[in-house]
Amino acid sequence: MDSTTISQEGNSVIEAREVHKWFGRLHVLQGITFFVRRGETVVLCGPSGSGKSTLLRTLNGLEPIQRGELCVAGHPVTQNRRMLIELRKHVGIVFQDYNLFPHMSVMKNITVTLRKVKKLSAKESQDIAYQLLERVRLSDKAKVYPSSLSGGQRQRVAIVRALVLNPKLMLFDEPTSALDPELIGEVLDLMVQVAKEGMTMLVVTHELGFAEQVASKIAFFDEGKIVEEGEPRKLIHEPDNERTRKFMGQIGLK
Amino acid sequence: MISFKQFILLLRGLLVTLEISLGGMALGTVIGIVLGFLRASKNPIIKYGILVYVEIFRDSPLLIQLFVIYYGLPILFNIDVPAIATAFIAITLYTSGYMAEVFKSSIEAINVAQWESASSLGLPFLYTARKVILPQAFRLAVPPSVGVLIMVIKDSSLASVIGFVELTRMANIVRAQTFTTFNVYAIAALLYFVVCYALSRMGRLLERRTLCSE
Amino acid sequence: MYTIHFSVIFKHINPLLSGLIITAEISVLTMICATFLGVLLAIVRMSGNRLVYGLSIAYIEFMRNIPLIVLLYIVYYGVPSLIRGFILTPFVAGLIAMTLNSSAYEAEIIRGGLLGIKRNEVESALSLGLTSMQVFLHITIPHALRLMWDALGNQFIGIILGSSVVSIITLNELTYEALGIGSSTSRHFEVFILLLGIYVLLSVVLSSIFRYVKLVFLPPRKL
Repeated sequence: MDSTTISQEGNSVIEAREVHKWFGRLHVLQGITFFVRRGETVVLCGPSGSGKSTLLRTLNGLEPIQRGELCVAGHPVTQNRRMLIELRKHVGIVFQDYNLFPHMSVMKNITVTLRKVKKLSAKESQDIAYQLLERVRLSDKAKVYPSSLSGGQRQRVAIVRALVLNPKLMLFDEPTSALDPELIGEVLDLMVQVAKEGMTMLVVTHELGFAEQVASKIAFFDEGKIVEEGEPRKLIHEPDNERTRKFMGQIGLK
Repeated sequence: MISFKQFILLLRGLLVTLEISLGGMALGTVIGIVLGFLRASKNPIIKYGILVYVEIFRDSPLLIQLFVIYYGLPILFNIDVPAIATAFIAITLYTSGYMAEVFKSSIEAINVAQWESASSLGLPFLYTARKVILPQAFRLAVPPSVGVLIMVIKDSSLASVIGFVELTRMANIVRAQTFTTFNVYAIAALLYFVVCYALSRMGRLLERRTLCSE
Repeated sequence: MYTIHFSVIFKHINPLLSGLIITAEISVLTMICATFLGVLLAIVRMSGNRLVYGLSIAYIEFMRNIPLIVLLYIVYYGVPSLIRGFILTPFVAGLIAMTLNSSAYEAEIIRGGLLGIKRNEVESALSLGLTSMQVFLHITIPHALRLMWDALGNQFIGIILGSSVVSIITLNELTYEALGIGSSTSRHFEVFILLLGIYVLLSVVLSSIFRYVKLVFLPPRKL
């Protein structure tokens, strides 16, 4: 039961075909067909409740889908426990509320998955963790607890924690929405760095500046459907669709 | 007034009270933690089974529970059971009902996002429950647990009825020796008061600290 | 070999019923008295006078931190031993002890309810032209009641369960009768299992009633 199916395009990291999801009677994803290739950075945006976060969460199995096909990093996404554990070794996710474990130090937060999932020794895990912390200039905070860190620092640690397993795909669910304005920059800079190093990323965000800088494409969500999809420059400044234009106008005012 | 020797007897009774309360509660807490986690299960038999268990021990008097165990154990095991065993078992079961509720609330109070982070990182269920959720649940569970401990120390006095020699029973014994009824019981009451009041102040302090440190 | 037989005790329903009535009587009377005393204490607790404030706190803390059974012994055995010729019936002694005990908890519950009402509510009602009495009756009391209701229900259930302790001083309530039936039939275990069920039933029924009343008469009325 440990088979991994090779998808038709060996290059694609996300393949979604006619994905439907309901929350009770709410039809929150209405036939999403969507592809992301290796190395692409894709931004999902849209009004709240449009389904963008939900789609993100279906990609690592946090939310089950009721209809359609979903294939991530070569693994079909089902609710089978072993499949999910295998899948999550290749998909990293960063949430809006960082969700670091408050009773563990930064080092422990990062190494816990290396030790428990990859079964590395304490020394190996710490070395890897230190290396990554060095690259984000947080190595001096290794022994510190999350409560002493700023929001921006916590989020960066959360990103490192997700990167540490060397995933094929990184998911970001509104990573900067809970941060004070002056802390957003450091997190976005890190995300740009990760994107430029070739990581395949799917980001739900309103930060259009980030999108213009590194995104290969933007998908605009509204009421459970992808209304428009395309290059950032086009979608932000000259969208085809009326609704897209309205939304871009609204968040442009920020 | 009672003599010094008799006061020492009362103190020894207090010691027994504390021992049985803490001991019973310790075991009851272990059971309560397991039940608290199981409560979140989707299996309806487990969910409602635990609900019934908790309601039985919280909605009936400890006195009756003591009687049931006192008369029931000899029937089940065909041997004479000493009062201390009855008291210990009864207190354990009694506290397990309350602690199951305490832990259910504490576990639920921990943001579901912690579970999601852990499972998104690929951490297995048992590990997450033990090393991520439980430590946080413990911190939240401390203030209400102190309340349960105070309740148990007071309710342990009922074990005197089945002959278990804790503080209240000791007070009965000393009273029979000296006929200074009011003084004996008043001093026993004061002993209970000192212990329970001290614990309740501690509990209030802890409650304030857990609320502020987040 | 001891076999468990429930049928034997069903012949003894009568004493159980009379015991239940006594339980109900003492419980209801305690609820009434304790609530009165609790209201008094709550008001006193919130007053300015330092001596009275201190006394009420001392009373509340004392009653909340000693076991009911010890208080019962003090009232039934202790006090009469100090005063020559002073005798209390088990019922009265039980009533006094349970009232003293419960009133302390009720005082805190009531105080909590009254404190929960925000000043703005009262001030805006007064600014609308309502008199103090009207504000008290139509705003303060209903709102406080809503806040206290659950805790009050729990306290009342506690009173019913606590009444079982008074059997120790030979009050012929439910538990005492059960002890009697147990002795005469030698089926102690079965009787007490039954009794367990009866008390659980009483608790569940009472809490359901409280929940029902809350839904019907005290709806949340959130903004």
